[in-house]
Amino acid sequence: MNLLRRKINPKLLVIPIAIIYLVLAYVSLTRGNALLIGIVLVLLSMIPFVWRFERRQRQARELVLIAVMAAVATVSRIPFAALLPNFTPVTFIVILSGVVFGAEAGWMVGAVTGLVSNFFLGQGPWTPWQMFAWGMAGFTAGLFAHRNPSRRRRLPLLLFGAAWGYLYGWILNVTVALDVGVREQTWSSVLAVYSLGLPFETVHAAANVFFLVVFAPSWIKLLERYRRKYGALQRTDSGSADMEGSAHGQRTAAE
Amino acid sequence: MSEGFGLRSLHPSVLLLYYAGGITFGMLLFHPVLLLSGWAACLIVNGHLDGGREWRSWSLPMLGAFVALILVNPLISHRGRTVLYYMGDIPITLESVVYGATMASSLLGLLTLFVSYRILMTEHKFLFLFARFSPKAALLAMMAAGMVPRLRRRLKELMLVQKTRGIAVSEGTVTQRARNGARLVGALLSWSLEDALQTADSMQARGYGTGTRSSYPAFRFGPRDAWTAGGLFAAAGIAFTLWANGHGYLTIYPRLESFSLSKGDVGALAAYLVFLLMPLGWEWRDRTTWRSLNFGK
Repeated sequence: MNLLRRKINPKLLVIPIAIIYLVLAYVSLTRGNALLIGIVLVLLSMIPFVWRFERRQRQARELVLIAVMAAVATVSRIPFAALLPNFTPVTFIVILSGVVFGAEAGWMVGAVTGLVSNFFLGQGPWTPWQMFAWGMAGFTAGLFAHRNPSRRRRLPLLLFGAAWGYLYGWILNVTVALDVGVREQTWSSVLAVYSLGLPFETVHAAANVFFLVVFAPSWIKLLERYRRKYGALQRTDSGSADMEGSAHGQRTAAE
Repeated sequence: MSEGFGLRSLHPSVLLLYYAGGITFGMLLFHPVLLLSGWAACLIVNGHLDGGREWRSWSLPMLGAFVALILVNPLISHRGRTVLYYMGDIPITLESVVYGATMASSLLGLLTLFVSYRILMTEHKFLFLFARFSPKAALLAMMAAGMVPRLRRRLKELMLVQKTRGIAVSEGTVTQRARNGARLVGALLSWSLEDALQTADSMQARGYGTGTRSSYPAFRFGPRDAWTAGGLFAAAGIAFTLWANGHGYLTIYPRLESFSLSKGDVGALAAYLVFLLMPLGWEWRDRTTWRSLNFGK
C-alpha cells in the first residue's frame, strides 16, 4: 500500500475527482437540488491559483511575507471583538496586500487568511467560501491598483473597499441564493435572500471604508517599505505572466 | 484522549474520504427522515469522541441557523399547491415549509458533521494531506498558522503597553476605538514584518529551496485504514447507486408527496447510516481491548 502510494502522484487524483463531482453536481442540479454545485465550483476555482503558486520557485522571503500578512489579518479581529460584529480590518488588510504586493500575492494572503483563521475559529462549510471571497478581494485589489498609482488614492480605494464589503457577504450567501433562485426561477427571490443580509454587509463595507480612508496611505507606505526591504517580491507581484517582463522593467525604474 | 485510539487512529486520507462522503451525501440526499437520521448518527459519533462537549458549545448557533432557515423559506418562496394560510396577501405554502425544514435538516447534519471534523481532522492531519497536493501552499498555511498564537501574544502585549499612552480599544467613542484598534494592528504588522525577515533569512541559510522538500511522514496507512476505506467505498457505492436510480429524496414541488419511505429510500438510508457509523467500530473495538487489558478477563 505504501509502495503504491509512492508511485501515484496525488496531484493527478484531482482531475478524476473534479470530473466526478462536476457530474454529480450537474445531475443533482437537474433534479432541482443546487446545494452541491456552488461548493464544487468554488473549490475548482482555487486550483489555477494554487497551481500557479506551486509552479514557480519561491524564495523564503516571499513565503514568509505572505504568511505574516495572513497571520496579521487573522489576529487583527481580536481588538475589534468588543466592537460591532463584522467590523474588522481583515478585508482591509487583504485588499492592501493585493494593492502593494500584487494580484497573485493578494489572492494567496486572502485564501490563507480564510483557511488559517478557521483553524482557530472552527472549520465549517463556510471555509472554502471565505477563502474564495477573501482570495478574490486580494486578487482584484492587485489587478485594480497594483500598477496604477492613481487608483491608490483614497477615493478609488474607498469605492473598491465598499464594493467588497457587499461582495464578500453575497459570495458567502451564494449557496442559499442559488438554491432559492433555482427553485423559484425569479431574480426577485434571489434579491429577497440578499436583502436579508444587507445590514451585516453594510457594517462590513463601512469597516472597509473607514480603515481605507483613515489608514490606507500610511499602511501602503509601510508595506511599500517592507516590499523594498524584503526585495524578493519581484516575482510574487506579477498579476499576469505575459506582462511580467515589461512590468519588471517599470518597477525597477520606479524604485 | 490519545491520538492513537479508535477513530483518531485512522489515516488522514481515510478521514478525508469519510468527511467528503458525509458532506456529499448530506447534500445529495434530500429527505427530512434520511437527513435527520444522518444527523442523529453524527451526534452518536460526537458522543463517542468527547461526550458531545464540543457539539454543545456549537449547538446554539446551529439551532439559530436551523430556526432561521425554517422561518425564512416560506416567506421568500411561495411555490407549491397547498396553501396553509395567508399572511396579509402572502401565501404560506405547505411545500415551502417542508422544503425549508429539509434544507435546515441538511444544514444541521452538515454542521454537526463538521463538529467531529474539528476533533478528528487536526491541523496536523489536514496539512499532511494538503502538502501532498500543494507543498508550497501547505508550507505557507503552516507558517501562518504557527505565527497566529505568537502574534496574538504580541497583540496582547501591545494592547497593554499602548494603554499607558491612552490608546485602548475599551474606551472612547466607536470611531476612536476603531482608530486605536487599527493603530495597534499597524504596530503589530511592522513588528512582525521586521521580525519575519530574520525567519526568512534563517530559512534561506538552512538551505530552503535547494532541493525537493522532504516531509516527516507521521501517518502510516495500515490494515485498519484499508478495511475502513474499503467499507466506506462499499457503503458509498450502494448509497450512490440508489441515489442515481432516483431514491433518497422527497418530491416536494409542485405537490408534496408522502413522507413514507420506499424500499429504495430505506436502502439509501441504511447505506448512509452505515457509512456514517462504520468507523465507530474501531472506537468500540479499542475500548473493549482497553477494558479487557486493564480490568482483566
